[in-house]
Parts: sequence; C-alpha cells; structure tokens
Amino acid sequence: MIRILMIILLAIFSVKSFSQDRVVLLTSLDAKKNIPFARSSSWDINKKLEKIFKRKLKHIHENLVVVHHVDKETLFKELSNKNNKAIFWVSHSNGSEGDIINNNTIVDYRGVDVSEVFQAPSKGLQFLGFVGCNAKFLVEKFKQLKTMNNNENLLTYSRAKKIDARIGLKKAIKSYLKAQKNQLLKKSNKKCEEFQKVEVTITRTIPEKNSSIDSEALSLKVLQSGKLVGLFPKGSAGEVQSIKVFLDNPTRKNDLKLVLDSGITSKSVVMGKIEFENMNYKLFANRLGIPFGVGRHVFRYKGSLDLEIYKINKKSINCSLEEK
Amino acid sequence: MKNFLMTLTLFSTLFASTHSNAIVGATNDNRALALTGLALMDLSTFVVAERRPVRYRRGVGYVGYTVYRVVTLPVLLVAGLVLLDDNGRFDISADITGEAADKANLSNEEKFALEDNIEEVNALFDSISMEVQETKASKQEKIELAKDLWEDYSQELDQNVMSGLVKVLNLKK
Repeated sequence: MIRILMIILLAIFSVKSFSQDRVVLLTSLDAKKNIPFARSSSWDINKKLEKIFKRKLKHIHENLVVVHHVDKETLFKELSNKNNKAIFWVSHSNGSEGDIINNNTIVDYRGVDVSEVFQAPSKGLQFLGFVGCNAKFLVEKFKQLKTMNNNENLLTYSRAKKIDARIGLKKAIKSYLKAQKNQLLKKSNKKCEEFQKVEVTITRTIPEKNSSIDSEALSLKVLQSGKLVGLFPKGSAGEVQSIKVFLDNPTRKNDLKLVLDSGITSKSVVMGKIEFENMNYKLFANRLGIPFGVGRHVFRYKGSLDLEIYKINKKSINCSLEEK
Repeated sequence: MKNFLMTLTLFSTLFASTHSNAIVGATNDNRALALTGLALMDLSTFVVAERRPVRYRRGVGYVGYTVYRVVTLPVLLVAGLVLLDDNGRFDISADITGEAADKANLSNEEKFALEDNIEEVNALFDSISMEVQETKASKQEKIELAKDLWEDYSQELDQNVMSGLVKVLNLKK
C-alpha cells in the first residue's frame, strides 16, 4: 500500500517538475535609470516586477521563468522556444499611428531597438504581453505586415497610451489569467506551409582590432522590406559569422534590398565586413566608399533576377525563423 | 533638524550619479535638427506654412512643427511611477496615406521613389544626425549644416525622393 502511494506521489511530482510549458517574464530596463521620485538608489524596478510576476501567477501550473536585462539575442531565443506558452515583455517603447515620422520602437535596457525581433514568435506561443508605452501601434503594424502569424490564435496585450511598468504588468497578467479562465488560449491548428524562397548566405567578419575601447560588435538584425529574415549574434574581435537567410521571392531588384541593423545610431557599433555568397550586393555608400548609416547599413541588390538556382522550398507560415 | 536631515538625504539620492549601461548614440534632439534641415531644403519652392514658437529652458526659439513633434521628453519619473515611454531612435517612414499625398501635391513618381528608397533615406538620416551631433555649433548653425548635408548626400538618390520628402515634411507644419 505504501509503495503504491509512493509511486502515485512520485508520478504527480514528476508531472509537475517536468511540465515543459513555461510562462516567461522578460524585462529589459536599466534599474539605475528607472528609479521613481523620492526612492533610494538601491530601489530596483526589475526586482519589483519579478515579485509581482511570481505573486500574481503563483497558482498556475506552468513553470515561471524570469530573465532580466534581455537583449535581441535572448529575446529571439525565448520567442523561438516552443515551450513558452506566454511571454510578458517589459521595456520602454513608443509608437503612433501612420506618420512620416516613425517612432514605433521597443528598446532594450541599453537603448537598442529590438522591435522587429517580435515578428517571429514560435507557433507554441499563445499569449504575448507588451508592457510599454504605446506598444499597441507597433503590434498593429506587425499585423499589417502579416508577421507574428505563426500561431493564428496568438493573443496579444498592449496599450495605446503611456503606462507605468508595475501597473502595466499587473494588467497584462490579469488579461492573461482572464483569457486562460475563458479558455481563449489556444495552440495553432495550422501546419507549416512551404513557400518558395531565395536562399542567401551572409558572412560577417569582425575586425581584429576595434577602433575604440567602447566599440562593440552588437547583434545585427537582417531586414527585408521591414521584415526580420535573420539575426547575426554578438561578436568578438576577429570572429567570422555566417548565417543563411531566406528571402521572399522578388519581382524587382529592389525587393531583394537588405538592411543590417544594430538597432541604435551609434559609432561604437562595429558592423564588420559583410559579404554575400554568390550574390551581387552593393553597400549604399558615398563616392569614396564610406557607407551611409550609423549602426545600420543598406545593401542594394545589383545582380540578375534570374535566381532559379538559389530558389528553395522553405516552410514559412506557422514556423518561426529557427524552425525553418 | 531631523526634518532638515531627512530632506537632505532625500535630495542626495535624487542627484546621486548613477552608472548606466546605455550605448552612446545619436540623440533625438540631433535627429530632430537633422530633420529640420531636411524640411528647409529648397524653401524657394516649398513655402513653410506655419511656424510655432517653442519654449526652451533658456528662452523661446522659433522652430518648425516637425521639431516640436519629434523631440522626445526625458523619461518622467513622477509619483512613484516608472513610465515606460521610450527615448529610442525614430525614423522616417514611407507610410503616406493617399489623402496626405494629395494634400502635399505628391506626384506618383515622388511617392514610389520615396517608398523604394526609404531604407537609404534613413541611412542618410543616421549619418547626418551623427555629423550634426558631433559639430559644436548653435542650433541654427546645426540646422544649416543638416540642410547642406541633405543636399549633398541626396545626390546619391533619385531626385524624386528628396522633393517628395520635403513636400511631405512641410505639409506637416
């Protein structure tokens, strides 16, 4: 009898311990720069947010995970993690409706724009809470671009106004719990669909010696017409990085234009030497060959549109970038 | 005395220097100045419809509506709130509605050129903002510098791009 009880207890414990579904809090705030009025310098917004997150979600079955000071790469990794059922993101952001001045940004704790990374969440993600000012405009823009569509049932929380970090997180959690109670959280029913893409291999060579002490080879977003198609990781001096990206089928050369963007206009960003395997790309630069752009460079496609040998069938809709 | 000490302690925490992890980038003030320079390009053709006075700490300056719109105020830390408004980079967008295009008298060539070259425009915007930031000069001189740089650098682009951009920016005043 005791043995049976022990086996049952062990089974319950195992199910609880090895439940893979995760609910994740990602924060990207510089604690030193986010101290409210009349608080001591030891006051830490990240600790406060973590406390709220754990307290409000202590009754749920999923594993609670908290990561602070999240950068582009960590964000990309967490969004691609199929075990993540819900993600709450807290950082500074801004946005407005369609305007010639585009201030739709979500910045990390160092002031680097990470917004496009949100375009490719995994199909396992069922809830994505953006806690940041005016983030709703960016979410709407991504929906217009037909990104963030790996899970057709993905629920998002965002507001079109200024919000406070702690109040915003509480409201986002409340929205999540309400959706869970009403059984609105659903996995995707769709299967990966195959689309014809153009495969391009890009190599980034980071110089041995950086121009100044502050120089840093930040991770780089690879963007085609505003859509994230790849991500170079952070690099170190002398490192050679190579990634494959899959581009939408072009009708004009301009469709193949690529932007490599660190997310910040800073001279301390080391872009490195960028080369495209077998593809004729030209860096947008002045007559002396000095590239335009600071912390981001534009590469214009100058080759032929006869790209049959580079075309490949790739799983596209309903698959995150890492699943491709 | 006790109250005085408490007040002093409180103020010392307010003004204590703090270490930040932020990367030093072009400030939005300088991006705004670069944009003003762009709006001022070829004023002989495009009349500035309205200018608004903007109050600064050190007086009143007369700058265009565009500057007024894009200057991002520092993060407000009031009443125990940590407002999550951003001080990140803003860009120029090619999302121009049909109504705005009509109002700006934008030709189809200008609209399409702008849409096709928006990435290049923002790369120029970065370079010009950085040069403006690195120049020690008055605001007016910086705006003039930005205007000259836009004129110089935009030669790398289809001429319809800049004429379209100036029309749309001036429409917003």
